[in-house]
Amino acid sequence: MAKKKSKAEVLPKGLAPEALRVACDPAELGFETTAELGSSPMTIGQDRAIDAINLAASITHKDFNIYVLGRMGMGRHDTVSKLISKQAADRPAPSDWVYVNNFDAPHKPNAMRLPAGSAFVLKSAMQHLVDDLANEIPALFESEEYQTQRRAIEEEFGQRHEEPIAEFAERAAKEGVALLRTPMGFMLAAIVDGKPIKPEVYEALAPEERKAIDAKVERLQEHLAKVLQHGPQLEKEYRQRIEGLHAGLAERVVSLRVKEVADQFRKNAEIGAYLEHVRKDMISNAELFLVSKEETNDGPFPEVIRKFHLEPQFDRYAVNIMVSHDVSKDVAAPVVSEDMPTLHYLSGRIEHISEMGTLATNFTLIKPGALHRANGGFLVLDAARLLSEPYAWEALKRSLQSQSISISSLGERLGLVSTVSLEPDPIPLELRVVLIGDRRLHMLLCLLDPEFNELFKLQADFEDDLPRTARTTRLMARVVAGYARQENLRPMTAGAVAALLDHAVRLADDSKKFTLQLGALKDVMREADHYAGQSGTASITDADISQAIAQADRRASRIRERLQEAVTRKTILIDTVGSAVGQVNGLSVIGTGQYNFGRPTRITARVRMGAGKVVDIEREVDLGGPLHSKGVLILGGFLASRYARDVPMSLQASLVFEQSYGGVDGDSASSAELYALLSALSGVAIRQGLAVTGSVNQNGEVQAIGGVNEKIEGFFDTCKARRLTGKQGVLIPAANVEHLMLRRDIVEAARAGKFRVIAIKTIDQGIEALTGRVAGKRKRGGNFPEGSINALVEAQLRAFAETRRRFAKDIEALPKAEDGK
Amino acid sequence: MTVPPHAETRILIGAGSFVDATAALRIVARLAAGVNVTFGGLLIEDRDTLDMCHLPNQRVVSAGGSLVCAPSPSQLRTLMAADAKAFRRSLAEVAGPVGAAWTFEQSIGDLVQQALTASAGWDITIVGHRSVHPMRGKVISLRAATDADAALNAFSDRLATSLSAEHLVFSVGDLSRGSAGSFAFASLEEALVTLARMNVQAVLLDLSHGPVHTSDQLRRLLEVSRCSLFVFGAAALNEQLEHSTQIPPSPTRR
Repeated sequence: MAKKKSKAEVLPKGLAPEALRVACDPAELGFETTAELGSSPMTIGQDRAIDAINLAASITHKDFNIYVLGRMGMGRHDTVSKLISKQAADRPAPSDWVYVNNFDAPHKPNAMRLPAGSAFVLKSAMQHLVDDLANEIPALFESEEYQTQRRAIEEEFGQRHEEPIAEFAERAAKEGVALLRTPMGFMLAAIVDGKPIKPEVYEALAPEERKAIDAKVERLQEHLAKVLQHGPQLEKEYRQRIEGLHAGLAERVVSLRVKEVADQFRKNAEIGAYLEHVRKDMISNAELFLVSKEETNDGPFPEVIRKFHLEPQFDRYAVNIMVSHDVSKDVAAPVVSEDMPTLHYLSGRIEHISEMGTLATNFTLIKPGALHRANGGFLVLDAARLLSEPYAWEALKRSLQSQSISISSLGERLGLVSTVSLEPDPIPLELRVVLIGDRRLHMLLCLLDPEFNELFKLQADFEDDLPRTARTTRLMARVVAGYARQENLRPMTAGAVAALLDHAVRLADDSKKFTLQLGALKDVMREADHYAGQSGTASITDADISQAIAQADRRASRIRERLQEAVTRKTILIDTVGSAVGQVNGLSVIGTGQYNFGRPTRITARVRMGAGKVVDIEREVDLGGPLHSKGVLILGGFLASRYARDVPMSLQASLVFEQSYGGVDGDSASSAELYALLSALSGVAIRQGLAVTGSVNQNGEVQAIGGVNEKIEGFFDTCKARRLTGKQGVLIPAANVEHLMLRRDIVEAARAGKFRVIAIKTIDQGIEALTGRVAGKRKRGGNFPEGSINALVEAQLRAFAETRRRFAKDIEALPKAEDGK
Repeated sequence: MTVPPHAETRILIGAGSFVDATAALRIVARLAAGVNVTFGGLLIEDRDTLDMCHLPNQRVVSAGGSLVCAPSPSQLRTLMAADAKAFRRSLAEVAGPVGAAWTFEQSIGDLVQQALTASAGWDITIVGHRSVHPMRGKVISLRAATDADAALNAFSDRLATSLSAEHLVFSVGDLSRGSAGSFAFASLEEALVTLARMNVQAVLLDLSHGPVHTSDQLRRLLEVSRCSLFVFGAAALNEQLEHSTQIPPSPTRR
């Protein structure tokens, strides 16, 4: 008759199958398909963040800009857009802004604020003004009136020019001197026998005669010089008279036309002042309109409808619209989202054109940025993109601090470009900026940029998950239904919604919560819709959701399968049956981007007498992270405080993750390492069908870890690949039971008694489960029960201490003997 | 019906320097459009000017009124070579856009004499004269009162219109012909005295009709008017010249 097994020898029962996966019951959702549901909220569980965004949108004080932080796929962009658009709709459309020429300093264009919707009216009016004058001014200058006046002026000045020359010519002739023309100017020569004097004749003259001729010629030369010197002054006067004539003629028509434009904007003093500058400039530059007319028009359209304002010489009268609001459509404040927040796209840029091989610019080449477009409203930016663009963050801060938009070129800031540029008037800025980014970036900005907290006084922190209750389950179902409608997906059956909510629970890593990473759920829904379409069903079913999840899992599982294969082929040594001393199956999680999976790792411990040191081989070779090292040091503390406290700790132990060639971090394997050590010290074998996860503290309590589902599934897959024996399972911290949301196949295996998940609270519970031996509690006498694991461990440690004591004694004795010699 | 091509007009521009030629070229450029025309350029190196450069302490008064040393004969030759190049280039620029043929030559001698000598075979000979100011002057057609030259009148009108200038007619020999835009003088000398004090940019005349008949009169007209002369009928003076110097008439013009 077989001996009855003690309680400890029997493999503990695992958790009930129902505890392994707390699935959502479709019947409790209260609908057959999502088509039955009416309107639904688009956001859920983000009340704190929503309040912050609403505050940012409604508060009028400066610097209450907001940083919206949270993980990707939380619906931050949609939520921000929806809330801000709602607030923006209640605000009036802001002013239009234009740049116009500064006639006094063209390199400093003037910014002009116009009532909303006026910018295009002014631009069009200026274009018509130029077109009209380009037709009217040339006609005016071709008139007989103008020609007569001009001829009179020319006559007058021509006469004033000619008379002194004529007088000189007469005087020279009278004095017998000829005026000769040379390429360089005029030369004077005495006339002898009706001809200019020849050199040989001149040389033959008596010195007195030569002297007399020279004196005469010199005097006349100086006279001629004076006559000719008077020419430039006369020409200057002539030009002034002509300019005056032009201005007088142009003034009448220009003033008339400019007044017509000014009448349209009578209420705006700034436009009035600008138009007065335009008027004066047009009058003083009337020839611009004449030049334009001279250029022939060979096109098919008549001259009268020629668009003169498109010609470059009339750029000076152009209106460069930075931002304009169509009041018939845009009755709200703008909400601008800039997907590429470079310096230029943010604060605008000054473009250049090539003219005769050099780069030139003018105010019409100023281009607006997102700050211009969003002025008076809201600007939504992605924080990571903004910070990755050179000088963009600096430009945004500078604009917010100065409450104005200044345009600067990246090339100029870096000193790379040396060409003519502009200094446009800064445009006053009234703007609320919404930055959307992750928490790490927010923390870094808070730490490293002191100005950030000043300028972004608000934060909207999006929750990662939502508590799972009957109410929130129904709410989540409505949100899911809303997304299906929004994305034009097929209606979802209650089963499909329940399966999706189970996935939301799994993504939350907590059976008591739903993830709020709604983007990930949307992805599953869209893929499931595709499969539903392939199978020709009218609605998305549970099977479609499961297929979408399984396919996503499969697509990402290449590395997991290769590792599984290596275990199956015993390339990586993992035992799932039998027992071994000082060896335990630990569990770790490997992350490949978005996909995490668990895998078993063999952890071994070896012990011998030593100086009380537990060697973590991972740490020794720099493969262990700090958290892992911390876990190992805790083991040393646990051993030292629990066993053989009256003797020196004389243990030399080494711990290793076998076949681990990458880094190891986290303390989730510390309980497994402790079990391996206890096994090695006690000499009691550990069941290899079990794997362990959980961290341990110095009191021997097993603490919760992350990734519990992945770890269990990883070991289950390994066991399944070998063969499920019914004696396999995973020891998890009791605190992690609430996090369980295991795959359905594991639940079924547990229900069939082929696999178990054992929740433990203490190391003693764990070692009993692993070894089938009683751990043993210290008795009143101070000893552990004989034969218990703890008694064996303590005995071994005492034995090491005794060995060490003896060894020290022998060592001490040795030198004395030698001294005696 | 096919429109017959315009009869070709042959215009010779003679000048003592490029500055003088420029004034004539500027006017000609306005006339060239739409006309079937052939251009000739003649740069004449004035022997008197060359001689004057040999005189000691000779100075030149520039157009701006500054006094500079006269060029040496070698410098003058260099200047003339540069002027020839510029003249040739400008002539090509005027002829190019209207597709006109052009020739260019250089000679040495008296400006008027050389221009008239070379004018054989040319319809109009222009003797260039620089302008010392930018004010548009009048266009004067100088003619003998007894002879109404229709071609000269038509050309003068066209020139005045294209230059947007006032056109005046100076009639010599019949005092009764004065009217608006027309002045009558008893003699050529009277006309020249008036002309001397006027702002004129071109004087047009026909040597075959008078009142100018000789090269000396033409030279005097050039000195007095200080503008480019548009000389028609220069061939008549040429024939006189040929006969007076015992040179037989050109066989090509028989």
